[in-house]
Amino acid sequence: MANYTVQLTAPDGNYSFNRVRISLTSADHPQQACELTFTPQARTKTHTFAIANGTWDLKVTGAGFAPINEANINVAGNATNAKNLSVIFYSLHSDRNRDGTVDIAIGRQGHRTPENIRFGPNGTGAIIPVNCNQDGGNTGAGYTDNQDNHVNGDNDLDSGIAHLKIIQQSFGPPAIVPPGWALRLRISPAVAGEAAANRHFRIFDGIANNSVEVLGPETVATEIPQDIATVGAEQTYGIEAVRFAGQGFESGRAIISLLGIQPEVSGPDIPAYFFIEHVIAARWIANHHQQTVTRIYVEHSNDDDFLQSLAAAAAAENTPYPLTAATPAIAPQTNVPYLNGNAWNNFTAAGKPGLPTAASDQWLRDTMVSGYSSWPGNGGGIERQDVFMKAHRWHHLQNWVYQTLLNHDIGVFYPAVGTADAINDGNSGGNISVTPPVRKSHLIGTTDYRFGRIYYGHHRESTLDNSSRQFLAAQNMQAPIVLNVDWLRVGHVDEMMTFVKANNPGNPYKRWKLLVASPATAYQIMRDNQVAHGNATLLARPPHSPGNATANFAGLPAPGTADASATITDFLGNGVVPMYWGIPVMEANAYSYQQLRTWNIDGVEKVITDNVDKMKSAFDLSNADIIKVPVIFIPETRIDGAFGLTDKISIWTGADGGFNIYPGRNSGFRSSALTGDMPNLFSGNDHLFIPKPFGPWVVDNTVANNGYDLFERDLEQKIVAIGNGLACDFIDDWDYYHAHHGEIHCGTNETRAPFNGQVAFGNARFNNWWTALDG
Amino acid sequence: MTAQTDYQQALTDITTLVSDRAQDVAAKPTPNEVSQIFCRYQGTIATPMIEDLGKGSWKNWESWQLGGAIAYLSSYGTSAAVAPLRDIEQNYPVTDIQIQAKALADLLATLDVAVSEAKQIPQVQDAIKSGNADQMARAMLLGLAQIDPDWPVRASEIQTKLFALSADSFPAINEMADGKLSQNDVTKALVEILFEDVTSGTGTP
Repeated sequence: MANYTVQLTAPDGNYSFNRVRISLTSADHPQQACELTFTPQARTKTHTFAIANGTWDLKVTGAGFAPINEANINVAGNATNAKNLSVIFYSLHSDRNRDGTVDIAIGRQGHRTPENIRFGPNGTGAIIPVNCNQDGGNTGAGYTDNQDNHVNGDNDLDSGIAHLKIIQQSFGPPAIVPPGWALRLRISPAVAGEAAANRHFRIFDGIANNSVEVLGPETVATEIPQDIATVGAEQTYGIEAVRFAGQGFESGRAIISLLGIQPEVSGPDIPAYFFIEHVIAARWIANHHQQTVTRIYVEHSNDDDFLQSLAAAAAAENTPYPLTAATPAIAPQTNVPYLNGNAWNNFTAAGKPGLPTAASDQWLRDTMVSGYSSWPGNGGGIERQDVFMKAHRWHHLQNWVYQTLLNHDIGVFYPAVGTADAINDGNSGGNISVTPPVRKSHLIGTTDYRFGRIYYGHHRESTLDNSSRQFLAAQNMQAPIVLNVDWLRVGHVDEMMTFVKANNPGNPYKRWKLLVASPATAYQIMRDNQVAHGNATLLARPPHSPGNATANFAGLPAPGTADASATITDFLGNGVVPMYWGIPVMEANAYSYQQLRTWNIDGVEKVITDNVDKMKSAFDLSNADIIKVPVIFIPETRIDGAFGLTDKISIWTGADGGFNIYPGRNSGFRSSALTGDMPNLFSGNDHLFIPKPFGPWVVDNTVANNGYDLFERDLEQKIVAIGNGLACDFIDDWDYYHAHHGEIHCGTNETRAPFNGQVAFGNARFNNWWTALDG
Repeated sequence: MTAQTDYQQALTDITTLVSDRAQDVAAKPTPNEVSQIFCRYQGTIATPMIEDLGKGSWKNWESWQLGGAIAYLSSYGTSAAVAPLRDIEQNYPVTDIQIQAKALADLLATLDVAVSEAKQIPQVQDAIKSGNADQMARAMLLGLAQIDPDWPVRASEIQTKLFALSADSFPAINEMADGKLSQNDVTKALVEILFEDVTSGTGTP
């Protein structure tokens, strides 16, 4: 017998492998084996085997260690065999610290790096761009860069793709990678229960133009081999996100694993080690009105007066911006791709016969929601992309969005694409708005929403589709507030409120005023002017005004009448209203000004106030922050169903044909603005483009325009009182917008510059969402 | 006008409405509006509608129209609608519609049994023969009460709460009225206030 000592020395270095197995085999004797564990303090370890003299083979193996195979050792008495081990392994890397450069520090073997995605100034976890613009070389019109399996040109390479690296690591004496070693790349959900992660991220085989997908939506497998020879000393991969967080991908995260196969350690298929990178898709942020407008969109319609008024108003801003006219009437039908299994197919919304046709469609706001996405760019800059959330609306403008709007500068993301969610009017972009930065004070502490909060309306017949709701919630930054829009026929939040800028240097969470439609204010203005201006005419273009060259008032049309004009005295009296409520082709229900008045003041005002109360409970909002805007509403349709006592405006009388029921309740009405719905405005940089209300017009030949509109004057005075220099441009949008139940806000959309968080909150960390967020 | 003519007129009304709405923000009518158009013809168009649905017409209907039809059938549908509703439930591509179709098909399938049983009750048969609306409604309600064990319980709960509310209000009313009103007077007034629009016939259901 001999005492045969094996002495192994592991190399110095920062690596996480520390266990080897020593095996001595002989044709004539039983195998001898042991395991050694190195520590930073004990890099050299020995083990002495009591073995018979003879011929032995020595094997030293271990994850991350180059194997030693020494055959035919002649053991004849005590001896020591000293070996210096070589460490070779492959590690995986991403831009964990978000500085634009892939971090080369070796992650903790077998654990996620970082363990948790964190935000704030020292946040960690690579942020992967959602590459949803169109840089070129795409599969076809309507396809975004992340809807095909290759890198779309040099620009895409620079701006739409993040980097991932495999690096060969070696320590100790040079060694050759054994031929049996292999690498595999795997992508998995970061959270159990989410859909396969290759549906959410795509990894390219390189970072050159036209690099192709190795793992992603079009790859059936979620794990693929990587040739060690091709990887060489290091290999860089491009990576993009295919979608934003949302349904089936609530976390927005994934883990990408590099599996090191060493057959001598764990067999031919079982990985000996893992390196795991924990990554997250960039987020989408909806724009709010404190961000500077950079471009306004409106349909190129036949209403030249409106278009010219809008263009002139945009040009008159202190920070002017161009107007782009959308052309749905000539945009060719354009397919909308969606991921069907592992292929991109053309989507048709559930229940729709096919693509929308080319036709006029003025509702830019309802087609999409203005927003952007940003992420740490390659090389240290910040990448920012305007991205419109495509609303789940299936109408003519959609063709223009995918044919023309989607380009190098504008990305488009459609949360509901490929789903069975119903198309309904609640899905429209006009039903999704954003507050400016707000704060919610609690008994102890505050919650700050530095990017504002999204608010959208819930309508029992047409609530925002599930996919879009999940998308908005999953961005996890602008926590949505849900309002009640059952009382509105169209049912969009922009019909009842909006935010305008206010100069409030002392409080960055209160640099706004909330404009709220208020029938009570409208009637109060009329009562205040009843004696002096009882003959002031509403709902008419004044004499010699734009759209009316005559010396008389030109009455405007409303449901049931070509001339809805009436005086203050009429509105405060008890005559019969010329308009009717009901389904226009089916019924004509007459009602009185008294019914209209009571219903407006006690019913509509109440349901709007209820919504304001919801906002008050969602963030710090006091009555001093609210500007009540005069608007009169009319009943449009009646809701079926039995009502209860609490649905009545006055419990002592009956339903009064619906006029004594709160709007939106069973047996009550759904309503629309009768006068121009001024809160449904476009909030520009220092101008507000406000739909002309056609409120009571006071003839006064001593002032400009030979008179003034009492509703306009009321709002303008309140805006002036804010004291931040906002100008009011009242624009006639009656014929093409108001008469079709929308206003300027519904008919426009815009891109906006990033919000300057540093100026607002006094710290550069608040410029980017990943540093602004806590935790 | 035959039922079929009425049904075709309802569809024409809907087409006209769609045309009127083409340029609106809400480009299509709501299911509620479609249901109201159907309901104007009351129960007469239920049979042709169900036949039409049975032939698969729903495959060409958009969700707002089909939603309106389902809402209409929730009032006037018969057990004959169960089969097309099941087909819609399983094959219409919109989740919301599938849910509505299933709920109504389940209800109508239950209804089928209840109606068959109630029609066997002699008082119900007599009332139908009489054609007297009041008599029919009373007999049919009592018939349903006989075959649905929950019905009397629910009716009793409502009655109990009504009397409780009357009793709670009575002491104050009694004092104000100097004893000139009985509790029965108060109960009757309560019924009138609560059900005024139904009893006066001016309200929707």
